[in-house]
Amino acid sequence: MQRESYTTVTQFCDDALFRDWVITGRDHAGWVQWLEANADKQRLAQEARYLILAIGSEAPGASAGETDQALEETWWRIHEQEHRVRPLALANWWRVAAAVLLFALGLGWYASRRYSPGTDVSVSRPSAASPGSRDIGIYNDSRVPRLVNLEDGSTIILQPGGKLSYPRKFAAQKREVHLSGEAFFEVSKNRQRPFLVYTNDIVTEVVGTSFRIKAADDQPEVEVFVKTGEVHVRQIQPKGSKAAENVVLLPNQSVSYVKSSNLFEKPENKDIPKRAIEYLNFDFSDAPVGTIFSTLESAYGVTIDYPHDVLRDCYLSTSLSDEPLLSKLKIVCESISSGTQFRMEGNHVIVESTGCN
Amino acid sequence: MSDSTLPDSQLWCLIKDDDQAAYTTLFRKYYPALLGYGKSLTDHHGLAGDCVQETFMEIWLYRRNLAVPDSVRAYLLAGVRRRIARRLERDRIFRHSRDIGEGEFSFQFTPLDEMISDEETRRQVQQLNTLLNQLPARQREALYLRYHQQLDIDEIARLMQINPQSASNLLHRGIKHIREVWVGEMHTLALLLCVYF
Repeated sequence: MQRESYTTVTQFCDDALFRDWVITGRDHAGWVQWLEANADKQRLAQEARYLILAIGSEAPGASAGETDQALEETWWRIHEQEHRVRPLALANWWRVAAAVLLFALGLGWYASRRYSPGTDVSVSRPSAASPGSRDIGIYNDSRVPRLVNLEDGSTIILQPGGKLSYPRKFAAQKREVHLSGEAFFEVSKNRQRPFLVYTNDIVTEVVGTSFRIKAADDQPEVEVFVKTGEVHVRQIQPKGSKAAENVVLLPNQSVSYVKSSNLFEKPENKDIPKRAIEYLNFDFSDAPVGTIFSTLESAYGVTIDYPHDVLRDCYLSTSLSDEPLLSKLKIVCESISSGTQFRMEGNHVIVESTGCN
Repeated sequence: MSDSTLPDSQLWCLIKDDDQAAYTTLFRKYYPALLGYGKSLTDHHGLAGDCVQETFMEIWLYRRNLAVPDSVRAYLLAGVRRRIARRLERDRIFRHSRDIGEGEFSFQFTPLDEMISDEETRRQVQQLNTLLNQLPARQREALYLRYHQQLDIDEIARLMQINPQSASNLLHRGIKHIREVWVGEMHTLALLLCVYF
């Protein structure tokens, strides 16, 4: 609206240029001149000026120092929040899960990555975290396995006492995580981005597969057990030393790395106790949907809520293997019907369905 | 460090792409204003700071799902207001008591003294300021949101959870009341304007 047509004090007050003139003295719109030429507006303008001066302008509620301090606290709280066990009843919690793609439920912030310095080229030390990327640390201090879903869709089941750290966003060429303790991995397949698991002594490289690593700090050995796919295990060696021994593992093979002798041993007669997820069979032939869900529940330590009545008479034949949990759920839900969807709230899966085909 | 001159909507998009520098820029830009607003809603200044931080936390935690708001400023102010109201409500339930006036807008307008060079203006502005600070809380809040936070009527309405007409009424009623009390003294002043500028 043209200022010539202003008829109220409010119109002057709402005029950004007028306010700027009153508050800062900068007369970019030529108000002095304009008011001289428009004497009939002088009274309104003067009233508006007094009012603006009386209302004042925004005074900062914090200094730059206080602001930065609050920013630091906020980051700290964000990390704390991302790694806290959340009560499932908390409304809208699933949105958090969806938003940060962080399904880990470990307690505490595991920042100290113990990692021997100096490596050869093929086992290069993961690039230092760039200023823009902070690592996520998970420590499972509970008594039950924790499911961790990574940004690339991979699933990790972290056993009690296990510590895991990984970047918020994986690098373009490779996916690197650090582990201390025991964990089972289901890596989403991507040949262009190998998946590397670093423990104190060895590095395990895969492209897409499932395997288990047991690397407790207080144990003399590190164990790698492969369920499906192909896995390469190497010793992490100081720079300049001879090329690292590379052990190739195929399904159902395992290897132990003896820390004291720095050697790999194939534990031929060793009976490695299997975790639920490793011995459970995901081949289903005409199985009730409820059975499939309860198998997934025991394998991944999650709870699955689904409409029992709606899905009572639904049967599926499907062969699931080493896909990460999210992929398994997606396959199952898509097989039931297009009206079936799931979402995750921490260790809790909620399936909504309008029925089966 | 991302450019602090970037428009809010662009900063927001960068944050959705995990840009921590953009987040820092947005935080620095709005934290002081939000804390000021928060403190005017509760005497517990620790609580105000907490709620401002939580509003910012929510942005990072939910960043992938959040749509870019029309006005980031209005979005943030509304977040702080909602959180403070919720926390005060919860405290009331737990303490079984009601602090009179808690959660009501307690901000006191301060005149822009540095822009006043003559006694007559000072006197007029002082009188107006006193009247302003005597207005009901909701009228003061509407004026604060309009002239300190530069929100438009629709944004004020959404934030105060009233319809736009009511928001407009709050603003106009406040100004109208002040003018009625004060305008009597104005008759002789118009001519002075040219002298001062």
